[in-house]
Amino acid sequence: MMKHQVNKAGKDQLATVLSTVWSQKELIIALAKRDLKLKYNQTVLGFLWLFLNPLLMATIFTFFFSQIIHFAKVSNSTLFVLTAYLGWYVFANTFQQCSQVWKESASIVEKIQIHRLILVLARCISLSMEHVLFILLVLVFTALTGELSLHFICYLPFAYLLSTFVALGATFFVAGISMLKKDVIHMVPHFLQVGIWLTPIFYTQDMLPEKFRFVSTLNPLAGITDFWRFVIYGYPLENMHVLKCALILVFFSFFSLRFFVKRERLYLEQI
Amino acid sequence: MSECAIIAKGLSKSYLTQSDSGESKTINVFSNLSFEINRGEVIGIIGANGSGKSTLLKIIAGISKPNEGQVEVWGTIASLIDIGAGFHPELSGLENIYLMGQLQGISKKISAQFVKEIIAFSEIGDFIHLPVKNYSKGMYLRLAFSTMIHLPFDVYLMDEVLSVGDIDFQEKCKNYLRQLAIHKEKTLLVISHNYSELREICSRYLSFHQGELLSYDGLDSYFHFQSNLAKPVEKGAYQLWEHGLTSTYPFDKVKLDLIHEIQFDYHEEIPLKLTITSLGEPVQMGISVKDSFHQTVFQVYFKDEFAPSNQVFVDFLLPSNFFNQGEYQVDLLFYSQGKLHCILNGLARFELREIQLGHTLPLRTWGPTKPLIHLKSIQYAD
Repeated sequence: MMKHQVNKAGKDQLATVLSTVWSQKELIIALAKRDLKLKYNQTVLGFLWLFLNPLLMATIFTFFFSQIIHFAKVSNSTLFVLTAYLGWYVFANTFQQCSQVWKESASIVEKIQIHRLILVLARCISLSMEHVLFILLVLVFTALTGELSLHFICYLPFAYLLSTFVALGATFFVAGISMLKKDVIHMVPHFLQVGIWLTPIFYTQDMLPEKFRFVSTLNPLAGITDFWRFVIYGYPLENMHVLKCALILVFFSFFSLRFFVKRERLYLEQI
Repeated sequence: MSECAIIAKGLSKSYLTQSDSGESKTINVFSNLSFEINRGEVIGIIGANGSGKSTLLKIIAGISKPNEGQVEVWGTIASLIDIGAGFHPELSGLENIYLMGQLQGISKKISAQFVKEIIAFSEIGDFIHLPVKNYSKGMYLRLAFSTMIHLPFDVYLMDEVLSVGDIDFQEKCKNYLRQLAIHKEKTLLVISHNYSELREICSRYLSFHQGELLSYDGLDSYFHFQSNLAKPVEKGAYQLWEHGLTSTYPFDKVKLDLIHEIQFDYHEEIPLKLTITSLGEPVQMGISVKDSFHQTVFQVYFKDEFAPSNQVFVDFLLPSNFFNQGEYQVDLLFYSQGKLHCILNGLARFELREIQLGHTLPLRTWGPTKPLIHLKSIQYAD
């Protein structure tokens, strides 16, 4: 039976694209392997580099938030910051790297029939190696302080998937808008720089003056970072708030994905 | 009955472009194209730059979408739109073969069966285990091209990628591509400006003309159509070819006429008349005859020097029993003090009618000339 494919005018259907992408699992894994292999190719330390960033962050946070800064209402300030930072890092790193895939892949997608979604997913998988190491490190650190909550740890995959999915959503959102105006591409690093401060990672909600608290209430990313805290060491949650945040983000991500995937090939020349 | 490989119905494509000043403009590449291509056909896609050839391939490949209409493709597609796209410089040649296959939808398992052939064909040898960034440009392209043509695709889309490697390698590629089409029933769509290269592999040609796609069975009919477009055909039309020239030339006007007609039989000589007005300095002249691929068939020089004069007339004959069927143009070359002064292209055009030499094979022969050569054969039997 010969493969039969039709390229017709109009938008692509999300389901069609997703099933094509699914049928190319092998390629996604191969590309992820290639990414990993090439990233630390010709370095002396090789994969040890993956540990460096998490180790550095853990050390810095331990020093600052046990020796210099203490939060009044938090039992362990280091843990409070480190776990939320982990959640933010998974989101921010995925978002940034996937936006780069966009630029890097321009030469390929214009010459080979391959959906950008495949390249982006491959990057997500190769990044997950790095992220898993970071998570393990934080888990070990938490266990050492005796605060590891084995009770909630089963939610960890959800937290991870949520952060990654939101990052993908943000990537597609930016890509979608960049079909109209290129400016958004330049906004990504700035957005991440500002975002980390608009989200209560390095401070607690109640440290904010009353009139600014709405910022973090409105910021759905705050819900995610809180969720990471909860998952790792049982930080008390406002359940409804987290759920709302998660729902908003999932919807946002789903619609940007849908919006983009349907138009990707239509506007290939303009992206 | 042969099976269809590609069917296009009512394809249209336009781009939205933005200028520096921010103005948006829609560029219409082609509209309402419909065509069918059967399995085993080798199609040459020819025509001027910017006529939409590459865009068409990209739509067939499924890379970009048409604005209207649809194209159906049966079988797996190899897009050789940019040879080597998808190769990663840090990976070894072997790894790149697998990756390239995977990128275009062929699993590692299947690719593995062809690796030996690919390495042998590309003549890469032991370099196959080195990162391709260490390859020379030629080796890199040879490997990429070999990979694509050996992996088992059904439809091959090639955009100006035939001139890879040295002459020997190119010959090998052309032979291989012919085999692909004839014996394996693969379908090839080839964009190229090199007509003699196309002639050796293509069975049919497509060309854009004012947004329409026209099909030709041979290059002769394409060129015939092209030259008919350039000027209306009527008897003697070619004789009116005239150049008004600027003062940097040593004369005012040059005219090259075919004395009686523009179409000739194989056995006829071709008489021409050259007229030069107000020749200001002594010159030497030569003519150069080109075939419809713009390749020089021969150049000859007039023995004598031409002295300054108000009007110079020269009659001369091009040989009979020499030209193959097809169209030819005559260029004029001027030399002063032993140096090439100027070349006037396409001063006259003439056409050789179909040749009937009474061979058993009704084949049209390649090559710009068809000298009267009788192959003497002696047959042996055991």
